[in-house]
Amino acid sequence: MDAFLSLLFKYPTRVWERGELVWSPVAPAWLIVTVLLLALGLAVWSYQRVQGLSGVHRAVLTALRAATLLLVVGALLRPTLVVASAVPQRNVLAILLDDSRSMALKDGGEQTRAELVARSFADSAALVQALGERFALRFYRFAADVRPAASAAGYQTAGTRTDLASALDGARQELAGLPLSGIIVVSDGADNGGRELDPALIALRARKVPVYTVGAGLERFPRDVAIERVLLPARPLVGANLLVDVTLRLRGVANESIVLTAESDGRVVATETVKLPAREETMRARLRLEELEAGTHRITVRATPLDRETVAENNEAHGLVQVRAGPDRILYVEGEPRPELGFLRRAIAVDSALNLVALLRSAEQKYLRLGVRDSLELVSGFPASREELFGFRGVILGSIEASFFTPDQLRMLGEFVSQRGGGLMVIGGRAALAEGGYRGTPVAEVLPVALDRSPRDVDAAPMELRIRPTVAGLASSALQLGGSDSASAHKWDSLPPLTVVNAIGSLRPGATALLTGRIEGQTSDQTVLASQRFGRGTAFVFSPQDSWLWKMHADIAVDDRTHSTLWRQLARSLTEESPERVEIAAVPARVAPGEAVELRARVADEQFLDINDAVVVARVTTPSGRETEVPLEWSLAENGVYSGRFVAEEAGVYTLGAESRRGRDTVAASPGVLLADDQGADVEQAELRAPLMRRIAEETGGRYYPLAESERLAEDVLYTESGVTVREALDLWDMPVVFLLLAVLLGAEWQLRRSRGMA
Amino acid sequence: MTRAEPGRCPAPVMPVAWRTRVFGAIVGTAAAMLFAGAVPGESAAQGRRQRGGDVVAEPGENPRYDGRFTFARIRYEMGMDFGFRSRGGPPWSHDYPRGERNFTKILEELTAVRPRTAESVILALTDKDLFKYPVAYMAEPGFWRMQEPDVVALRAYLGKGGFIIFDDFRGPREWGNLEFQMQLVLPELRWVRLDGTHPIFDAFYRIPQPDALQSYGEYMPSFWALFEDNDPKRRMIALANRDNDLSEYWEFSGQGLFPVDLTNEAYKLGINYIVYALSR
Repeated sequence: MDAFLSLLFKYPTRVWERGELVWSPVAPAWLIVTVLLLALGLAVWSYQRVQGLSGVHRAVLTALRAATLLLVVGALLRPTLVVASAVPQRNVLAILLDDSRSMALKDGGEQTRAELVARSFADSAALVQALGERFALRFYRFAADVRPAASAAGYQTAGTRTDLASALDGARQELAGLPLSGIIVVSDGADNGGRELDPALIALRARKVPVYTVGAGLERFPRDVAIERVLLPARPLVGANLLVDVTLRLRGVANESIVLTAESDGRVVATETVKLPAREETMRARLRLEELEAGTHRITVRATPLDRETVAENNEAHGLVQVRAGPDRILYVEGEPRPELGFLRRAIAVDSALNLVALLRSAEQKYLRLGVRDSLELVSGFPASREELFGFRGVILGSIEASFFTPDQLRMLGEFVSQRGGGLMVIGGRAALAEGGYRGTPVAEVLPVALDRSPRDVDAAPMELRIRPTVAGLASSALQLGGSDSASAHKWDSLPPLTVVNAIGSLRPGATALLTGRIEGQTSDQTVLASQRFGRGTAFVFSPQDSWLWKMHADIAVDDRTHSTLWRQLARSLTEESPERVEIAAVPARVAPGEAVELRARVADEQFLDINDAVVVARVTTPSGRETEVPLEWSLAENGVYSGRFVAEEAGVYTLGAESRRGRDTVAASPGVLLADDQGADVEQAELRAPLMRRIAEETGGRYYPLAESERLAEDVLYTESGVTVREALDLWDMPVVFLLLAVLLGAEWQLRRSRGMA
Repeated sequence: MTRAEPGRCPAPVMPVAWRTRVFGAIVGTAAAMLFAGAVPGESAAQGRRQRGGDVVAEPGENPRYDGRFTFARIRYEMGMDFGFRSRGGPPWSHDYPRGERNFTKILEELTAVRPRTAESVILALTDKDLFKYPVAYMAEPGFWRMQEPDVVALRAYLGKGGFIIFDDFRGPREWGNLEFQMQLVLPELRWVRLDGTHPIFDAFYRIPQPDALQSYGEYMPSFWALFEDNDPKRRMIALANRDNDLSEYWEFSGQGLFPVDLTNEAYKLGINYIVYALSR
């Protein structure tokens, strides 16, 4: 199509897009217009004089003549396209070739993507010859980073990561002092570098450097199962439900079955047969891992390859799970002795990874402290300082009215979530939520439900709710009550109703309802358990006042562990994402041996306020046990974040530590991990991502080409605003389309005249 | 909703040692003859009983569960009535209702517990609603007999997290009966005598010498408990006020029948029991 349009309009589309239309009349414009008017008048007058013509025919003939005259006059006005074009051999054109592992895929054919690219961009290829005549060509190879190359030959396809942003930035910076006319990126678009692409594109757009993208590979495989993403629990506590969410991309495998397995350090810890859907092209599957010991575990998820799969390399994925030993400390503040306290304590007491500290107000100004670390802890009641409160990772508020706390303590509770990143759960009761006077307090602000309903009369009969998980609740690891999804759902169905004395308001935007309840005979549900991220932490509301009935009720078997399981899991979800004062992580968390990673530490003081003036040193223990220190610098871009660069030379699991010093305050970071290996890397997204390649081109003023059409590049790259350019004026009056149109108009007029006996 | 039905006691089927039967028969017969002239009349029309000149409310319909702490009195069956029924109703109902009414009012007044003060529940061990009240009270366990469903129900109640207080009994025979009955429920557990160092005596009030109460007749009070796995550091599941009657002090606390100090001690113990049971 492009070629046909180029034939008609004389120049390729790219020139039209880039050019500016100007008029250069061959004679003064007034003269041309006068001649035009005279000619038009003559045409109208002459057709008016012809006898025997109907009105319609006369009008059509006049219009055809007028159009012919207008076309001629248009040509006489001499339209011209002014376009900038690169001065031959004065500009540099960068050609970036993707050298990552995904380029070694064959897409079901005989040749790999890399081989096809090498052929199209070989020194002897017509495209490269044509480009070479006009530009100084600079070849680069890129994967995780970019490096110069002599030519397109010598593909290694060894890179375990494709980082388009790094590649574009790298090329731009290296050619910063040269007249760069454009960048050609040849890739399958499998960008997994993890960096934002926008800054790199903005920098290129600012320099007016167009990026021409060439896509290699199939946009869509005929038959394939790919593990697109594996979501592992971040840093679970030992004994936690380890649910692994696996996202599968499916092509041409409707209604078939596959077997998903998960291995931990080579031992199979989960197997699941998954029936593939009939229509959907992506699906989520879930694996429940067997319990893992505290420590770092390498998890490999595999989908058994099917017959005749286009690409089998994308059937596995790898990651690390850091299982924490705990114990995580949770403060439970209860305003009245009630069964919920005793049963909850007993439920959590069996979990060695959790430490529940209970502060029970047994009377006015009288406290019963249970599970405290020493005789002084909480001796004056609820913590009066942030340092003391922020020592806990989770807080549960029972039936305790807002007025029990000082205004500063209420603020502290809000900041416990937003600033410290702790988990806060408010459970139902006569002095909880709106009934406890929390409306308008800092605690109410962080809760996932608005306290926007009038408080209930707590002495009235409570609402009896039959409780069920929502779709989000069924997927939540905190609400798993069985060994399988169906067993868990069945258990939820069998639980007796609980009672609620609080008026639960509307769900906040962004909050997630995990459990809902319904009064028997009614048709509407109300929120029972909801959560939301607020700042760095998470807040929950659990509305029943008597979850202990799920242990004690007559219909519950004596050996039933539902109540204990549920509360252990809820308590873990409170603390699981609570950060430490100093944390360190590698970005990305998985690289190939020899690749560089960024070590990022987040440092906060005792009040969990970010600090930027600490001395932070990372300690990396290599798989062979060697320890290396890496000084980290404040990153400037973000408060409390320190970063440094480290090259993971050895393959295996690295342990990351850090120490922050600030005056006398020295804090060790909770350990992080880094995996260096190249198994299955870079092939998770094996299909050509043409939309991404197209976006890169469009946002920088370039154009996207499939590899098979890359020859068109030769002409398109010529017209550019970047580098050393010259402005060319391209005549348009002699476009073939003008002559064609002229012939058509004259022919039509002649044919009509002939049919009316005028020829 | 459970209807309390005091006094309707079919004969027990649980095996009872023949000596205990004979002793019970003798004591019962004697007591029946002794108090023959003072058998309280029951007025079904008024729904009230006369007891020593006092008006005692007839147990009515149990209030509906609402989540608040509610005093739950266990109604049980006894094999040989022999007149004990006449002393203000069946043994399980002794001190009802003033005992619990007074106690829950004091509990509300002195602690943060939000109890029901005007109502309480009376439940059989086999009543499903009992499982909504995790603290139960039983009076006169010396006369308590169980059938197999009672044994199963109480075992489940205690196994799930329930806590039972035995009160108002004296002498080795009644203690022996309590031991025997609880052996049927939890044969592996043994009663442990508590001293003032146990946390239950520091749950609200510090009571270093809990057994310093006045003697109950010829016997000195003591406190005994059953623990999970016979481990005193684990959860206490049952507590016996041996040779003692706390609810008697509660019942008559408004009438000056007992010295104030003793009444106070009885209240303090009761409050500690409830706070302990709800928080451990």
